Amino acid sequence: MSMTARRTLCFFLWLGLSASGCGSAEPAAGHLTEAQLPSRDEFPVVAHAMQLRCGTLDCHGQVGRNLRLYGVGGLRLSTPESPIVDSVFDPTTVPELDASYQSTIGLEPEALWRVRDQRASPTQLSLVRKIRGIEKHKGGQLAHEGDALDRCLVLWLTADADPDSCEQVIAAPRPEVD
Amino acid sequence: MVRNTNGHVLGVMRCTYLLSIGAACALSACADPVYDDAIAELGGETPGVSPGPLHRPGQPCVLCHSQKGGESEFSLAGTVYVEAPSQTPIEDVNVRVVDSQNRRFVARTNCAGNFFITPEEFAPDFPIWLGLDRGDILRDMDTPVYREASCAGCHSDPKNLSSPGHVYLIENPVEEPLVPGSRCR
Repeated sequence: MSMTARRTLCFFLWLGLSASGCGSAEPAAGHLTEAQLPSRDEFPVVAHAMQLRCGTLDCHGQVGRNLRLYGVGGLRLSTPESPIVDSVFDPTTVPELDASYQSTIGLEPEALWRVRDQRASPTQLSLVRKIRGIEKHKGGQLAHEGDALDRCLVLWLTADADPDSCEQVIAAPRPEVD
Repeated sequence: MVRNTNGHVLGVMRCTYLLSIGAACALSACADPVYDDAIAELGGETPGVSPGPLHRPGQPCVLCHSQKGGESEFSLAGTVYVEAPSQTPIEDVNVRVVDSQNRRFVARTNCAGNFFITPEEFAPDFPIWLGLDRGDILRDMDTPVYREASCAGCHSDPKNLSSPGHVYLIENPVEEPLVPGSRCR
């Protein structure tokens, strides 16, 4: 994760903690805290699974979304270092993974901190509530607790990634339309 | 007497206010300016083409053809072109749809390349997967569709970072035999 992203998260944590008058288990207001974030190194396989289920152009492959996902099959991000020549066929780039990662972890930094550091329920995260259908989600319920997509995303968010679950999502056959 | 969901009595002023809003909405159809602007941006009809199955190819059909848009409802609609770089529509293409309940429907493009499916014919349960065929040429869409009922909602021209460009049948005209375009007059 870049220093900018780390500083941003620390700032948000400080802001959230200052405003909420946290208990003794939480850092004192005004002190920056190094948060344990979901792994960027393990994100590519998670991103690939999310791209298939969440990142289509009619859903989170849109620039106007808070959760904004980039990659092949959806919204593309062209940078001078990794220009997108063919928006349909070019594979997902590292800057796209970086952008999707920052979008995902930046959705609810305080809640993510509670889930990661305080072992709060992952359902504190809107992302989890929405894919499980606990909270209204225009894309509908995408996962059930414990299924491959749920494990792929929730384990990466809360603890260590489970690449096998993500691979199951990626390898799931699409229906034959013939 | 009017009570809200918590059982509290609503004041007369508040009731009057709510009734006024309701009446205003009924009269104005509670216009959504963003939606209205999107429709206005589509512009007028092409001269010589009357509103109907052949009009406005390549446009996001369901903007208007929806409950909100006020025209006859479509559950899915779009336009198919011969090739990616071509603006020539193609007719008699089967548009095959399978929804999340594994229900299937096939629509066919007309001479403007347009196809449309009404809710009475088929009301898919999203996500849906789509494929095209005409003769021996088959083309499946790589990604599912989760909510957008207009092809052009995502497949707008020109191709760019947020659009794959219009829907087309032939990927490689050398390997895939060229089929006639459109007989529209």
